[in-house]
Amino acid sequence: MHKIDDEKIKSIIKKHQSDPQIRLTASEVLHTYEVRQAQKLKMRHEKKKIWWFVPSTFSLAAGLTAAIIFVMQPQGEGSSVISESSIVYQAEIPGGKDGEFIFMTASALAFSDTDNLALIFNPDLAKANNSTSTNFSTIEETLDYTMPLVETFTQASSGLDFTVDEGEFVGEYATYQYQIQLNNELYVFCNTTFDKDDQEETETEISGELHTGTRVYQVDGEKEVDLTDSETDLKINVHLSNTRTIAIQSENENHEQKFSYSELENDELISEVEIKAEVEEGQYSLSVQAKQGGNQHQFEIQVQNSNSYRVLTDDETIEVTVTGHHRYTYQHMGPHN
Amino acid sequence: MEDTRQEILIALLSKMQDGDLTVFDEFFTMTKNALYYSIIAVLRDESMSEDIMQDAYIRFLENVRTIQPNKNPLGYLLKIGRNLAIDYQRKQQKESYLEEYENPDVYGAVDPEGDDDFERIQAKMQEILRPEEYEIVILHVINELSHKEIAEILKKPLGTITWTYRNAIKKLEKGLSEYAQD
Repeated sequence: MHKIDDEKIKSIIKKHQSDPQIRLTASEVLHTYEVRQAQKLKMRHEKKKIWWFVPSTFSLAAGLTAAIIFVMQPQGEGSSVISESSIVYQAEIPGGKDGEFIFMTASALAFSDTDNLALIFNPDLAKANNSTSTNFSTIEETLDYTMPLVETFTQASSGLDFTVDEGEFVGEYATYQYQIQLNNELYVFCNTTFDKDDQEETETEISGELHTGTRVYQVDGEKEVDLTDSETDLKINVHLSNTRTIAIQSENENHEQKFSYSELENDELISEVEIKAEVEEGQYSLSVQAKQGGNQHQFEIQVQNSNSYRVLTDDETIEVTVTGHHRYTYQHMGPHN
Repeated sequence: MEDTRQEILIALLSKMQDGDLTVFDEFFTMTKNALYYSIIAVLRDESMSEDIMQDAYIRFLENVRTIQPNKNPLGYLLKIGRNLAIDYQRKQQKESYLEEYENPDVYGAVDPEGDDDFERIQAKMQEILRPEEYEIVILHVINELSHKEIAEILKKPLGTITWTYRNAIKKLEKGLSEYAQD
């Protein structure tokens, strides 16, 4: 068998190697860096704050970032405020439907950001706890997973403050055109591509990466807007690991919004949650359908206030009280009328 | 890579993360050759290498606070340089297509008749090796990165790096035989 003589080749190359003639100096780099920083600072002072409900320019990008920022901001107990305008407002945003986009992306993480978040991101911990990430065996277990989505929905009317920069941003996986940032630890790099833009329909693709502290997650998706009836379809994938993805789809039509969340492991469906939002006389309710393996639950949720919700299943009424960040207590009230 | 070199770079990173840019000169000196060769390994052309180096260092400084502390910052810097080089190459491909079509030997190669001995050996390696093989050899032999570090930078499995490197060395054993007799 032929033995590879690695060292011989190394020594040949090294023997002939010479230091490159680099004229660039550290002081030149520092000078250019300082000049650019000064320019950026100036621009930042001139830049107005962008709120997620002022959407058009960075439609997808801003929505994505806002969503991520929204999810990652500390959500103190009782910090959310339910506004009658939240759902109605999202339905009324002309064209952009950024509220919807925000909700989708935010909720992708909210979907994972239950007590089991650590299990999803940290398989070792999952092994230690001898637990899987999703379990819809009982109504309470199902609510544990769906209530963060509901809370995210009701909190989506909050304003968000973030900056969007255009340039060339070097990420873990590629270089991107946009950077959307809340603070040093939370930001998104992304590119958007208009695939199709005609009089009847527009299609936009987004690809990027979400940086949260030391973690980076790849995100991709697409948005289709039918300009003839303002119907919007959105699809987003948040890749939590090489094998695990949260895929979200949204349909928006006639002031009704339907969201479906699929948790995929190696492209196989692990669980699926579908939420339909309806507005009636300024009040909104959510219909939820959750499936996992052979388990399936269907119920409606009425929002009482930021800390309490009423769940109506076929058999009973359950009062839900928010006791902490994605923590709930359930009171079974018996059959409803 | 030598542990001591890595430790120094991590210490310098820590100071820069605390806002002390007086150490940048030392960091630059310790990393410039590695960055240069990483860029050259992609571009195979030194004409734009210093511009890309400058951009890479600036991006590095802009993001210095977000870099994982206690992790060798050279990998991050080389990754930035590589991404920028690839971006530049993509942009150039459109512009140079016609010119390259007319004269394919002009683009993307170190001058095989160059005066510099190392230039000639680089040109020979580029002739023998596929681009990914060449890049891995440069990163491992010249930049002294471990296969694991290269796998992280190139986002490829460690096994792929090892396999590609072995194939490259096999080819070089034959292709560089004339140099072996020196």
